[in-house]
Amino acid sequence: MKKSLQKYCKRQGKKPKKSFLFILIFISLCIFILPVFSVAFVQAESVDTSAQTQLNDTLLQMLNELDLQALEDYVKGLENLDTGSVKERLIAYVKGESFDYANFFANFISVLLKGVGDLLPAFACITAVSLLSGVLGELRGGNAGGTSGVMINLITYVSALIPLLGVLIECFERSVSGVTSMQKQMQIVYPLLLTLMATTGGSVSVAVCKPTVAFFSNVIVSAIVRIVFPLTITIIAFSMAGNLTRELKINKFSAFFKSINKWLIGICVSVFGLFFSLQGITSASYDGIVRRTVKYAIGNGVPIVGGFLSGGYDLAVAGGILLKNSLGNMSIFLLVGVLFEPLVLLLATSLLLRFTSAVTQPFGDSRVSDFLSETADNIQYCTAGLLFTAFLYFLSIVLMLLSSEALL
Amino acid sequence: MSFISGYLLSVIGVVLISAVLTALTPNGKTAGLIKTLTRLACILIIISPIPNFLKGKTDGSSIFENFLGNSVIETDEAFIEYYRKLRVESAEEKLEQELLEKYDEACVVSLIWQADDETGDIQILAVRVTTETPLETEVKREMSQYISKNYCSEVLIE
Repeated sequence: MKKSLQKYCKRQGKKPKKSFLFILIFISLCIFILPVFSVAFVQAESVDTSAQTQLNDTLLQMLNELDLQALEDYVKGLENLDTGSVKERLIAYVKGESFDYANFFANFISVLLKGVGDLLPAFACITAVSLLSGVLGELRGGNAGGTSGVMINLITYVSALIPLLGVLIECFERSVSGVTSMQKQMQIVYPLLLTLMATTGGSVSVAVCKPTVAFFSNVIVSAIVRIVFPLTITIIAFSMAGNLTRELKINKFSAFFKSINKWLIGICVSVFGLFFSLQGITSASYDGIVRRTVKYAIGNGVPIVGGFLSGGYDLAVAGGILLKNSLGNMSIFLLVGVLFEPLVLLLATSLLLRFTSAVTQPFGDSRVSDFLSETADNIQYCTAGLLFTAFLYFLSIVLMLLSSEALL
Repeated sequence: MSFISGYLLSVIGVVLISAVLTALTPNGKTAGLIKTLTRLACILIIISPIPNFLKGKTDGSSIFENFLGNSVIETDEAFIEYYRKLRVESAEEKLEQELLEKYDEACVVSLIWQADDETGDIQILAVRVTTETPLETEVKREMSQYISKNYCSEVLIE
């Protein structure tokens, strides 16, 4: 090659440039060396693939050993969720399946509109009764304050209440079933998450979380179902009675029960939420420090009698953490699935109550309008109970998932 | 939920009767008494589920029954045991690989371990290394040092 280049240069009457020579040498070197690199790359890729296969095998083994029957039965029992097998879903989350936000939003709107559509006849009936009451009031003219006037008002008010009762009972049923379902979900998911936490080195976190989540899933959730929801019904009953007759002055009772509800929810959210967050974060940090200390002792050649097993990269630990995160991910999807329908129903009811209250206000007696408005306010306690349970459940899952981050 | 509808309907009924009575009663001395009695009846009906509820008569179960009864969450001990064994097996394989690479000796490693009582972590008590061919004293010493530095001070090489 060099001779041909010299010949070419002689023919051209020039000396071969050094840079040109370097380029040629570089190209010829590349021709010989690149295949070597490519072999190395292929080997590295095969090592990666083998590690991934090993990790997948470990994950599958662990999934087969983990007792997921209760979760499987629970998921099968959910009417609206078609998630397939729990194991398949967990593997899909490990592989990083993305969430379809557009589809979720479209579903939310369609369910909301369906909820509004289902409730519309009841509220149309209330509006019609209220309008009729207004027309009758106008026709009565100057005799509105008499006994017959009072009777007509009472009858129209009760007629407006009857369709609303069905809607309210439906709201309570859905709220109670939503919170109960979340409670059942917690009682299935927490032991699994705690087991995976214990296996991946979060022993202190497990010791801290165990009583806290047990307290939350039993006592606090039961308090919501057995105290907050029944008190909300009582508040609505007081509001109903108070608006039925002006003679009965019982609004202070309503205020008293409202105050109990507010305090109960407020204390649970602030005290339990803050306390649990703080405990979760500190215990996770402690686990992380313990793990690093063991790693340091082993890494620095400190002879340990009865030393703790602590590897740099351990497939079992990696698999455990991935499985735990995947289970946490699935729990949050299940939580949203359970929360979705009652929340949409409550939202639709609240919106329609306020709208009907606004429509009925200009006609006749203001009692129906006032009662609808008060009920829209009171039903917020059901929404608060539902969201509060979901928030604390979400917080507990996040803290459990974060506990392993401190170990890495 | 039939309880809720029954309760709300009874509240409506009592308050309605109270309102009708109040409206129909002629103004006089007894009117005030009737009004007071009907108001009392209304309040009693409205708050009636609360004492019943606390006593546990509403749906046959007390509010505090099982309130703290099921408040123990148990971990899956069988899975934890399986997981520990998996980790120990993985560590044994890793150590065998390390010894093969470092000393060119095919060994069988078995870790003698126990779970820590407090934390549940895997505690290595001793490392037993079995070789196919007898090792030279120097190699044995180096291997023992390496294992005690990285795993555990109790090393048995056979």
